[in-house]
Amino acid sequence: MFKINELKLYSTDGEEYSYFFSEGVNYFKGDNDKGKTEFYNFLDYMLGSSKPLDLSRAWFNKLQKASIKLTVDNSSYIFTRTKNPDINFFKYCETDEDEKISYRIYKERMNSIISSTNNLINIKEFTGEDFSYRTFTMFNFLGEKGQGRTNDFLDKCSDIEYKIKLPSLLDLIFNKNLQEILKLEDELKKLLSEVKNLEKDEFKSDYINEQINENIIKLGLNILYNGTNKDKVLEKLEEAKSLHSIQKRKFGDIVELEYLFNHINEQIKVYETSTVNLKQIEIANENRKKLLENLEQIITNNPEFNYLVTPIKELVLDMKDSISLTNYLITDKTISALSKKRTAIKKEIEQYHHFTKLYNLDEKEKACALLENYLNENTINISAEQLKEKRRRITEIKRQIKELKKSQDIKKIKTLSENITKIYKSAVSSELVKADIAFEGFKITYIKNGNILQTQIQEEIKDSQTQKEKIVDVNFSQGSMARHTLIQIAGYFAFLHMLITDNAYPLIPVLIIDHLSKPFDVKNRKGLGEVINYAVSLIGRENIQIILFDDKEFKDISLIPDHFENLSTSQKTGFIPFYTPPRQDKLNQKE
Amino acid sequence: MPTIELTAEILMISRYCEIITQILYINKALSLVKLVIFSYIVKNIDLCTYTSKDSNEVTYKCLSMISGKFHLFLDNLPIIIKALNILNKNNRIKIEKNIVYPIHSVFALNQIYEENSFIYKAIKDSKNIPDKYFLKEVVSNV
Repeated sequence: MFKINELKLYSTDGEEYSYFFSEGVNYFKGDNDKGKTEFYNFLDYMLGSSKPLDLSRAWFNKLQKASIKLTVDNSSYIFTRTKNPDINFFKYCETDEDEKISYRIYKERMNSIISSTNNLINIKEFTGEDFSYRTFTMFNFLGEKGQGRTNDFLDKCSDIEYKIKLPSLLDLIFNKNLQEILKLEDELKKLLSEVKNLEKDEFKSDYINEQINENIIKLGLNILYNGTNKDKVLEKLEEAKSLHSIQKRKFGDIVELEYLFNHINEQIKVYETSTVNLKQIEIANENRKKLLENLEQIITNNPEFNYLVTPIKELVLDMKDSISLTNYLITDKTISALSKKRTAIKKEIEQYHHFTKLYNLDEKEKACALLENYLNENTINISAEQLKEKRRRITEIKRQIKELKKSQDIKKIKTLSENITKIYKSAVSSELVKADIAFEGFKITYIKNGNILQTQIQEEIKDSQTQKEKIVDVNFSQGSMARHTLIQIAGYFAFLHMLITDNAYPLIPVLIIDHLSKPFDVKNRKGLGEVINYAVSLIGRENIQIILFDDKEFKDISLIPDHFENLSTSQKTGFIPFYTPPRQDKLNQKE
Repeated sequence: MPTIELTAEILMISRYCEIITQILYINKALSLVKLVIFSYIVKNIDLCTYTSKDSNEVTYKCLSMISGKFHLFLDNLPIIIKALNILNKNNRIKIEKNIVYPIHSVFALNQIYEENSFIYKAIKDSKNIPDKYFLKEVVSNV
């Protein structure tokens, strides 16, 4: 199990100060300007945030570095960060030596420690992205400014770097077909690799065939290699070597061939031009049709307009100037046949040029040697059918994966919604909650699209088809920042409960909230404590750490923390113990 | 809402009535099909890229201005027919053998639309083109 044990601060003068954390609820009280938000942000920094510290703040002047002690399954680690984000240290608790590490290694180490406790699913295979524990910190932090949101309720998602990752993350969390998807991904990987190899072989084979035929033509062997007639080619080669008479291939007169080629070229051009004209005729026919329909409609609606519409209609009908669709199709096929014929003639002309070219004995000898060499190459006869089948299967798998990825685990979402509602309703002393649960069927439904916490009640409506009264859930919106914040907190707790139970993600089981009670008045403050107490009992005290920063006494919010500290004491004025505010400094000097 | 639709239609019909009477006032007579199409052009073309200096094939140039808007023309067609019917029923125009003639010229003096001199030329030139080829041009090229 993962635990934050201690945060130790070191001053430039060699002083040290430690904040300790226990399992369950840790409550840090501080009035205004005592560094609650700084402490909140500092914890994120220590957990690997890339946002640097605001060093313009005076209270960081005397801070040299800070260490955070983490315990995971009875092993403890100390991560140290300085004011320079790239200068960090790591050590195991048992050792004395600090290992200097970069920021990247800092995160990697932390990720591997957090991930070691889970049966991690392969996030990258599902989402295509590397989601480390840093992505999951969107479930760990609720700041003062992000409170009160029930639409896209996670505070960190107001940052673009988290916002863009959330949809794939939610798809992953709420997907019920993970095993099938991974299985299909495996098969896809294998197939892609096989196709790649086959294509390589096919390319090699095509190249060799081409070379063989080129050399055959040079030698004038009157045969073409098609991949299977190796013996015949070798036979012909032997004949050529022993200078037997070579039968000349009967080529058509080259002049005739070239005339034929040009003629077909011209015919194709003519037909291609006519297809352009035919397209225009098609558009004209379409317009005629629309105009006729329009005119018919006018007469149908108002028969008295017949005398105006009929002359126009007669003109339109008179315009017969298009060829029939069948003729168009025939023209299309003609172009296709002519193009094929043109390619064949072009090939023949090329071969003819080879034939008429004079090769000297050296070149012919070289051709002989090359031919033998290529024929002896072990070429695998690639079946086009085989390749086609594999490609078809790849497309099919990709389509299946896409479908499976879209599917949602409705049951899981429903359970989450129920937990959110239970946690919210546990605030029995809150006037807001009392007012809400007075509505029939009040509940909070989680909507994955948009990450929404939607309050709903039941209403009786008449079914339009059966005309019978039926009860349906309808969306129900009530104002109040306090209400929305309470719903939001319930959302955070329910999510953490779900993710911790799944035990499949690199998640730090911690919830850190800044200035928790700000939106709440006296009548509703106690509801906060009730919600937190209920959530802790639901998740299990040993399974979660909650770190709260607030200016109220914990009993004011009905909370019984496992650990309490006052940020301001007789020895220190706020979060950073080595900092003395200027006014206090002057007073001290006077004294 | 039906009331708004009805009001809009009435406004459009009245505008077309004005345009038709104006065209006929200037051109004295025009075939039915040409009158319908030129009424649409006069009402709906705001920016005319051609001027009265254009002299070649002005009719075809004029028709090219509704290129790509054939569907809009079809939407306006029933309204133009209604306008013609109203004018005919109220003895403002006379239709004989598919030619439309104005009956009174007085009402056309209140000109809301100033006919563009280019369009005026195009209408005049179109009288040399048979209706069938004129309509063919509309249907083929817009």
